[in-house]
Amino acid sequence: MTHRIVPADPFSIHVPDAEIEDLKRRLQRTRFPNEPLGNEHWEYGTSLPYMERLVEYWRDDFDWRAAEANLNRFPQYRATLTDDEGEDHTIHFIYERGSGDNPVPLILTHGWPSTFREFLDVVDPLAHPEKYGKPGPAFDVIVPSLMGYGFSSLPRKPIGPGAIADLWHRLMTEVLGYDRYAAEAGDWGSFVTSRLALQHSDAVMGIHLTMLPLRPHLKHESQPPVTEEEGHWIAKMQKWWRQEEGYRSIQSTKPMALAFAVMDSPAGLAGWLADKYYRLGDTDKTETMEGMIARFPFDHILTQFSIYWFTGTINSANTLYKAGPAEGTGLLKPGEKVTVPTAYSEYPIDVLPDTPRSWAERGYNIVRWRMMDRGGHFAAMEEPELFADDVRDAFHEMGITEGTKAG
Amino acid sequence: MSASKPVPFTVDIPQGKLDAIHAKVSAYEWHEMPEIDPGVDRWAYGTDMEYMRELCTYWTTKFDWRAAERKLNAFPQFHVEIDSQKVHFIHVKGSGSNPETVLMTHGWPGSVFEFNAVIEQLAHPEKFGGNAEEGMNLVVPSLPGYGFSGKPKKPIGPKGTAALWDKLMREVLGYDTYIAQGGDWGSVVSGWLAYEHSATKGGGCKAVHLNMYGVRPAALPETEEEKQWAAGAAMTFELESAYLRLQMTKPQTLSYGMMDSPVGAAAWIIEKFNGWSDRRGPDGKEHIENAYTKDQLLTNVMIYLVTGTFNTATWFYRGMFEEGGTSMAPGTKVDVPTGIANFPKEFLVFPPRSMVEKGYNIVRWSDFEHGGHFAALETGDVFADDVRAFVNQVKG
Repeated sequence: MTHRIVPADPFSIHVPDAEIEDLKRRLQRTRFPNEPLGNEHWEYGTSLPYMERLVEYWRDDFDWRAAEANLNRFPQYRATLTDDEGEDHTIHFIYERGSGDNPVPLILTHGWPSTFREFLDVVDPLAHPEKYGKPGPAFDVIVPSLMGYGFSSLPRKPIGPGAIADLWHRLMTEVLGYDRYAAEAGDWGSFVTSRLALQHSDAVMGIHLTMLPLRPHLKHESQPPVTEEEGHWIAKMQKWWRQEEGYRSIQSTKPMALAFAVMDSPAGLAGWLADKYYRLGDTDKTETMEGMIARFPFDHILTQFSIYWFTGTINSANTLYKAGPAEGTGLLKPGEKVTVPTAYSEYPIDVLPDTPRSWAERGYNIVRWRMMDRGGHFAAMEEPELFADDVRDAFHEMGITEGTKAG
Repeated sequence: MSASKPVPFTVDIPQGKLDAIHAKVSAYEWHEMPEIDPGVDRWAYGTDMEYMRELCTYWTTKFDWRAAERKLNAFPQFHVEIDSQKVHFIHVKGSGSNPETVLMTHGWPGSVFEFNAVIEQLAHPEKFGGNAEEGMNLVVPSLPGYGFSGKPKKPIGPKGTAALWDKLMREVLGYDTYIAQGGDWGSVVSGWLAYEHSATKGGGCKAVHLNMYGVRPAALPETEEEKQWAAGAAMTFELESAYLRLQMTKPQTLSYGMMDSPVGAAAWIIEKFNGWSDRRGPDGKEHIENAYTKDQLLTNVMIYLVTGTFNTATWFYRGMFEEGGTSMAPGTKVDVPTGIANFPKEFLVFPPRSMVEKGYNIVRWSDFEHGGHFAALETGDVFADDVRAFVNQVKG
């Protein structure tokens, strides 16, 4: 470590028995809604028969202690950083040192409605590729919980991806002692990671994204006119988004109108989130129930939901949708562009057309471009092997194969 | 059409249901909310938790549902089945020798309780120092999927509801003609009654009184004033329409939390009563209780909870969407006499009269100094006076 100045405390998760019992009691007395005819394909939102099975499993069969042991299988820490206004932020993170003399430090950031659990199954394959008979590079793997999510602290007021990116940079440099590092993300994590690349371009060696969040400033003179392919893609995305963006709309304007129900009802929390896994995951949309369960086994998806429940963070997590736009981090300023080498891998979401590469290149220095044939929005959870192979391959192709410090 | 004979109905909720709600409200575990700077609106992120705590304390220690039931049962109520939809309605015969008949329709997240305090004075003005000859027959139904009406099997919207209402009025109750009144969804239902079920089109609606701009002409804003209104309305929509976008697309995703958590459903509903009402107090400060008492707020919320209709009530938005929206066909308008009651804190601000006239035959337009979206509940006397004046004007 070159200049570690902030200590990190070892951490492991242990939810008290009383809280587990309280969860089961609440699930036991769940009052379910009815469902409109014609919801077999989740056309009106989260399916009732699916929810009935999920709640029953959560109550009777889900073993939180086993899930907890699984989450605790990698070293975790918490480090506290004080910001310019004197507020303390405690960041929870997995830190698995990679194999070899000089692994590439890689920070992977999850989004909503996910948690650090999303990357659990890729930590070992990324840190120790040799165990899986895979070529390098090996990574020092850092997986934080977003601020306001899971085991990280709740900001007094919601903070956006730009502010979180500054905390991530301090985590990597002041806490972990790296001068330079790489980053990977999707969803909100991709906003944080893009901001990290913009705000700390000297420190970020390269980024790998599974979502391209920053929109170019189309009116600026540096931007060529929208192509036919781009126009077609934009129109399709907007049409789809109108059907899907109700959750964003409420979370970005009035999260506290929603908070009381999802903080009080575990079934309500699960119903609110499951919709996104169904829509955005690469699930079989013909056999909706079995397809959903096959893609997101109850033990996996309920670990995600249980983390939100036990940490009481669904409200602060939802509020990122208000903080992000308030910070103005979603739109690139005129002429602004991510110059850090960027690898983009698009995991398919059934109904959506492929992103035109020309669109991505307006805002990012795209050096590697992949259209994946399976795995959806939660790729690291859905297809961990494919995801880990792609990340390793991407950094290898970008020439980022070792850290910048001697081990 | 098929309709059953109306059966008298009284609200009488089993104690066990009330106890279950009480237990969940009492056990609510309070949590954090984003820090609000002094001087900033405490409802800036949605429902203020401080107020919810205060309201829930009242709910579990002072609120008396049985007293609320007595208020709801003060008027004769009935159930009837029309085209396999069970409809709950209040039906009061008015004083006078030949009373006009007025059909009043509530909206979301309201209920028939909105009209509770105006029914008596509209039906029997002589009891309030008025003229018995100005009495009205009143029909006040619960929307399909709301309160004591039945839950539809799939979403039904305002256009479908208007068709049910016209049958209720003419075929079930035998009123050949009637005047429709409404705000919120009630204004849309009433608008469709006036547009599709007017006497000239074979229906019974002879006039309409609206306190929200619901069914709209397919006309673009032309004057500077109209364009300004359109720009303002678009801005309000961006900030205030999230609940609508969600309920119109994915009501089921919202329903699990709202059906399971009474405090959650209350917060979702109360946020609207706060945001859409005239909260201005004599001290110059704004507070929800300048518009409503806790008893009023909780009675309305409890109607959703005891009937388990939060979910089906939100379906109305999806129903509207599936019906194809709220726009009239190009070049057409409502031809029956129309009264507009424009309350200042209505969040869906009325356009300039010139714009409304593109779609309606306006014979009365009232601008008020106080009141908001839930006018009958918030400023009942003023609302009742305007309805009475309109009815007097159009009856002939």
